[in-house]
Amino acid sequence: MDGQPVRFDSAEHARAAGVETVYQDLALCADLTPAANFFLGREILRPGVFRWLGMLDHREMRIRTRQACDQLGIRVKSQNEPVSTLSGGQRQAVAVARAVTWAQRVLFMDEPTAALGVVQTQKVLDLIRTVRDSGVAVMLISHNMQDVKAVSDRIEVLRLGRRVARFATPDVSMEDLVAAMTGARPEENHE
Amino acid sequence: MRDPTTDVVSATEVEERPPRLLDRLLATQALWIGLVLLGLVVVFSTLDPDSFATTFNVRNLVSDTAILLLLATGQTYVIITAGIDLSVGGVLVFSAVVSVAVMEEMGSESTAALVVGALVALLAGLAWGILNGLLVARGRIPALIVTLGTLGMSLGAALLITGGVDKRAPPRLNLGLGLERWFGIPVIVWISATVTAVLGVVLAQTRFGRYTYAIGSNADGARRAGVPVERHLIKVYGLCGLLAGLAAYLYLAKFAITGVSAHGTTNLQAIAAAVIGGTSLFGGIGTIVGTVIGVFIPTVLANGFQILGVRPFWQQVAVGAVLIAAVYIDQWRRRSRSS
Repeated sequence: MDGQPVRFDSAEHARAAGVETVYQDLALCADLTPAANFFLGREILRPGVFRWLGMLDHREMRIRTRQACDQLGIRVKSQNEPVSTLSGGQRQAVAVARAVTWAQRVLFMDEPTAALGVVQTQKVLDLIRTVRDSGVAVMLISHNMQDVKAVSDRIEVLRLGRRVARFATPDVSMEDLVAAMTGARPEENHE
Repeated sequence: MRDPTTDVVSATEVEERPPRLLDRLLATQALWIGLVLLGLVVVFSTLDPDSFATTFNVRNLVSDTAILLLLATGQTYVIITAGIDLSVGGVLVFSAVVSVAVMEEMGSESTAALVVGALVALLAGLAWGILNGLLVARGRIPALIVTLGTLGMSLGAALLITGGVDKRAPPRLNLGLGLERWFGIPVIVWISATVTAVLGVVLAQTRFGRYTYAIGSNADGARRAGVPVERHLIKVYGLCGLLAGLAAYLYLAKFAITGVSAHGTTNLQAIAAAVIGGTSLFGGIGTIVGTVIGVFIPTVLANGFQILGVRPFWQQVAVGAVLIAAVYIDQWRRRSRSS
């Protein structure tokens, strides 16, 4: 990070350094509301004595979650229902919005479009561009080459756990990518 | 990036209001089970107005329930984390026994002895609770097994200390705290109600409560979001043990004995109360209000049957049926929600 190697022992360390992740399983708490998920681990407390008592500021968190979703163009059906009542795409949206909002430096996204329809996928890709333009590095992990080509600047191809190829996105054809992925061109192994 | 269309704007305004009370009520099992309780009260009051709906009987009802309510409240926290605590009955007896032993050692009648006795009961309960929490959270042993083990250990230890004979609580405790009333309501009930109310607010309104729900809902997700899952679990089991310690002291005050053989099914009563009140055994769902109602249903049934001259064994049958029905409804609601 900033040209320096960094090592994280836990998710908290990584978060403290401005690294956020959208997990493939979303890592949402299904029984909590979107706002509660949004602020999980970073709850806003009420001012004054209530802060000392650990009292939550439900209203403030609800408003700020709504604002963040609006900013990202994400519509969530209800902020008052638990996440389990939302559709798969909506859940995904909540998870993505959460990570995007908190990411300061690096955003990891593990198959963020896997469960989404065409329109929603397009939204997530737009979101990735927005985040990139704001100066946060996005690491998109995906097997969908259209998505990867659409948003990436650089592509690292992993095969059997090792990097087998590295491309600059504008220079690479779909055939090259697929070949590297499937191991059809082992001579591409150089740096 | 803000969507300029008006429907989004108006939706925003609607959403920023807190959820409507009525909607929230209708969505909770607490409401439905509350109606069941109300129905029972109405039926029993109509069938025998001279006995059931009397101050004397209501006071008895509330007083019988006070101690179980503490255990059920602790149980609610534990079950919301997707755990279970079978040890509360044993921990209660152990706490009562060591508390009496210390009070006897100190001469029983001094105020200091009674205060130290209370502290000992609380600490003994807390210690067992923390042990449960450590084994569940750090040892990664299923809560069912851990607390089944500590149930046997605490009960066995209590029997070892007493030699299997019930010890008597100091008369001053029994005649004082045990009989004292404020505004016609036993002090024991005041204590139990206050503690339960505070813990109800903590569960619904604080970060501590939020973490409790989050862990029961998705422990991995909570951990990745930065929730100190293990530390929180230890606190929750510790709280449950602490409440068992408090219940032990109140039990001593009310019944004047340690009750070494009276708590074989106390854990199940506490669990049943929480579950009847809408706490989900799968974690993530439950309220203290629900548990309060859930505690009263078995007591009201027993009391009503007794007054009507129905054989009291029917109460066990009825409570069992209510318990199964409550879990069935929970399952059914989960299925209908996730589809």
